Order: sequence, then C-alpha cells, then structure tokens
Amino acid sequence: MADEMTRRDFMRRTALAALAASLGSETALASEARSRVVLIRDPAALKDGQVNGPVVRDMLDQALSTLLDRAGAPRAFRQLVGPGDVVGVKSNVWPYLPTPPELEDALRDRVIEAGVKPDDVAVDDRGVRSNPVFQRATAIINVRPLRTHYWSGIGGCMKNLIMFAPSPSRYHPGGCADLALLFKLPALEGKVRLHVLVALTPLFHGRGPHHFDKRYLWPYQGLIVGADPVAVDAIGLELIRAKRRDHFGRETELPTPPSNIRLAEVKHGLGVSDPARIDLIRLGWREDALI
Amino acid sequence: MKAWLLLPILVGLWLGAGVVMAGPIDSAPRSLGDWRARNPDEVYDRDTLYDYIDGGAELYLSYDFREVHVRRYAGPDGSEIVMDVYDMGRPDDAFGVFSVERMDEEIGLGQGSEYGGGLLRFWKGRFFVSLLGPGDEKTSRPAMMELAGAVARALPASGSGPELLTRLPAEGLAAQEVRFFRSAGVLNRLYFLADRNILQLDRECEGVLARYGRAGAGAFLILIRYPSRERADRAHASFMSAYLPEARDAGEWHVEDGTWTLVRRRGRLLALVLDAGDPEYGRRLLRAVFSKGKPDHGR
Repeated sequence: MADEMTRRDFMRRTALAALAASLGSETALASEARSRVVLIRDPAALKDGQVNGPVVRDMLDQALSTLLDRAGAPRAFRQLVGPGDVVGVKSNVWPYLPTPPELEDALRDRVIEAGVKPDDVAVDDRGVRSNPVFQRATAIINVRPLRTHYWSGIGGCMKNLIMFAPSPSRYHPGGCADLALLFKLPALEGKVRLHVLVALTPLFHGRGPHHFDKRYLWPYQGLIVGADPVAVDAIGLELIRAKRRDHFGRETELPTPPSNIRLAEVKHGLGVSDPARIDLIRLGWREDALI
Repeated sequence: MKAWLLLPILVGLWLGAGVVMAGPIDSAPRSLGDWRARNPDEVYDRDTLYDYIDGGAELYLSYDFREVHVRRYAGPDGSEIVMDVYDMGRPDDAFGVFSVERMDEEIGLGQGSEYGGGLLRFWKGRFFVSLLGPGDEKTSRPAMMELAGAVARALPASGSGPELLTRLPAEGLAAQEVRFFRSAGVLNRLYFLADRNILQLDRECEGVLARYGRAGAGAFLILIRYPSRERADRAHASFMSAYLPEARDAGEWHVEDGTWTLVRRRGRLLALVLDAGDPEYGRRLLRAVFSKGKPDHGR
C-alpha cells in the first residue's frame, strides 16, 4: 500500500533529518511550515491539590493573548469567536482525570463575553454528536487533560475529537495512526479554532483496564495552548517523554508509539509535528519545566 | 422422547447456567471492613465494553473476551475500589491480557499477579482480574488483597500459559517481559512495526513478543503461529514485501538504524528477530526457536 508507514520509514526519516541537520540544510522531506504554541505555568494553579479557578482562568487569558498577539483576553477571544457563532467546547469526562470544570467555565464565560449568545454555547464530551448546539456549531474549542493513552500513545487534542466520529473504533487501527482524518468530518472541518491541552496534573504512565495509576500523576501546573492540534500534541508528547526520562531514569517507550502525531503531518498534511519547527513560547513559572 | 428423560439434561443446563450467572465475582464478600459493594454489579460484553472502558476496550476485544463483571466498593472518605473480573474465553488469552502490561513484583495470587500504585492484577484459568483502588497501603491494599484472594481461590487453574511460550529459548530471555498477543494493534502497542496489519494477524493467530538481553547484542523476538501453513506463507510474503523487500532471498537485512532484522518461516510458525546488534546472535535465536518442540507443520 502506497501510504503505508512502517518502523523502517520512521528510521529513514530520522536518518534523513539527522543528515539534514548535520549539513545545516533543509531536505525535501522537511516542511518549511512552523507553528506557535504557548506553554504557561503557575505554581499557584493548584491549591491543596485542587484546581485554583481564578489562577487557571488568568493563565488561559495570558496564553491566548500571547498566542494571538492581542492585548487582553477579551480582544483575543473576539478574534476566535464572535456574534453569530455557535460554539461547542469539547471537553473530556474521563473520571480519573477530567477536564477541570473551572477551565470549562472560564472558556464558556470568555466565549459569551466575546458576543456569542449563552444559548449558543455548550460544553460536552460523550454527547457531542447529539447535542443540538454542537450539531449547529460554527466553531469548536477543544480542551482536555494531557495523559498517556492506552491505544493512541498520548491522550492529546487530536484524540479528544474522536467522539465526533460516527464510529470511533474506525480510527483505532495502528495505535490511532490516522486521527488526523477526524478533521475531515463535517462537524469539524474548518471549525476547530483553539486547542487547550491541560497539563495541571498530567498522567505520564498508565496501566490496567482504566490506564490509570496515581503514582504517575504529577503537579506540573501548566496549560499548552495553540491553534495547531498537531503542534500542541507534539509539545505535550515532548513533556510526557521528558517526565518519563526524569522519572524512570532512562528513555522508555510509551505504551503505544504515538505515531498519529507524526503521521498527521507527513501523511495527512495537518499541522507541524517536529518540535524544531514549533515556536514554543514559555510563560510564567519555569522551575522543573522539563521542556 | 419421554419428559422424564429430559430432566437430567434440564437440571444440568440449569446448574451450568447458574454457575455462569453467579460468576466468580460473587466469591468476593460484598462487605469488608469499611468497604461496601454498591448495587448492582455491572456486566459488559463485546458489544458494550466501549461503554465501560475509555480507550482500552480494543485490548480485550483483540482477544477472546466474553464479558466483564464490575463491582464498585465504596470506602472511607469517598474512596473507591473497582473490581473487574474478565472472562477471556481461554486461559491463553487471560495470560495474554495480563502479560502485555506486567511490570510490578509478583504477589502470589492466581497463576500470575502483581500490585503497584493502587492497581492489583492477576490471571487464573480463563479469567483476568483487576482491582483499582486509591493506592493507600494501610486501608485499601489489605482490602484489595482479601477481595482478590477470595476470587482467586474460587477460580480453577488451567495450564501454565500459552504453549507457544515453550518455544522461546531460555538463555538471555527477559522472562517478565514476555507478551502474548493475537492482533496487530496489540503488537504495535508493544513494538511498532507498521500502521497496517502487515503480519496479517487476527484472533486465530497466536503471537509472542520477547526481549532478549545480552551486552551489546540484545534483540526482540516475535514468534507467531498461524492457523495454517498457507496463512503463515501469505503473512511471510506480506511482511517481506512491506518491511524487508531487499531481503526476499536471504531473509535478513541491516536496516537503517544500524541493527539487523531477520525472518524465518517453518510450517505454521513465522519468527522475526528485530533490533539485533549482531546478526549471528539473531541467527542463533532463530535456530533455537525452531529446534525446540515438535515440527509445527499444521494444516
């Protein structure tokens, strides 16, 4: 099959990239495209282990203002959505590590402040396909916690959109290799405006039927924000890998190779997966940032 | 047929159904210290497992999974222990689902077990059992051990794991990292080969991934038994075409990361050595695989 991707293909691309780097030149393989991602952290984002709503709301505001080069959160959000838009906030209800309600509330409030009618905003996860607001949505905001994921390597922003698919299991082969195809669904194509990967307490390793092991949560107290889902997930993956190196003391394979991130770019032309071509803007707390 | 002749059959069916309906989960007490089972237990089958497990259902469905009984115990301060008892259809498959995530120390339950980070896992017979608790060593761990022990005692043992494992050469084998699989999805999760099913795996196949360690020359061994020689032959051709086209004749190649990949098929068995630093080490592994056990010519 012409579009097949094997382990050896990854080896060849890695070797070519290394060669290009050694020659100081770009190869035909490497795209010129770049993406911008904001990583913001605050040591007060968690208070007694719980999400500190006002601090996290402020982090979101700062991240978006920086991402979009707009002074002040209201202006930044008005660049994303406005009157006439119908907005679905795609959340994540996984019981062991859900999207914090404080962040859902912050997004909802900012969307309404930007001019969207309250009845035209909804937050949902499992019910997005039947939710009337999502069914007529003109814009989607995607927000979920960062974690390793049994079947896709990491649970990132691309994976979070799988509930829009009529048959999610169709996207499971190859460790969810072709998650990028989700962005071709009518409910999503051209509509996803923002991705927020919540790294307040990421899960860097999981086990068991529920892929959860509390030993592997850590209070990173960060948000990763961008418009490019591939770049946001690539930064999330860098963070997870760095934490695994730090914790296990060696390079360890993820439970599933997160090939969907690289394939999103090289096979489907969606976004930037190479961290070297992602302009990562770091804001706030830097201690133990890892990346 | 006289009605009385049917009686023993009907009684037998009723008793059999009763055993299945009660299930091994009922061997565990519903109340233990501060822990109380919530009613009712939940049951999920192949059609509904996605409703229970977010993201991980594919693992179970890739084996001969039949159903899972789930019981939730409410404990102190809102904490919870979730006990899952999976009927995996076959002992090999119960071992398989246990093996793919094994990483902690053995704790002496069933035919293989471990505990770490609030997660207790074991397999026995055709059942795989998982308990997830809050990770408190003083309160939840003893309760989890007692609940799991009750279930383990009620389950009959069967076999000692897949027969295919007996073909693995013992020297250099990382015994705790032997994984049994039936699908490309699970294999890719353990060792990514390709985003397509180039080994043509399905639930009729048996596969083992094993790591061999030796200073400077370790390797991974993938050994697959297909249901027929024809299936093995087609899978061999598919792999060579997709992954190792340069080596159709030799069956071995020095690949781009500097390691060696070697392939051999005999009868229903297909064996791959990957990441071998030294090709001779890979050849010795393959010779050892095919010299163990009876020739496997199959259908």
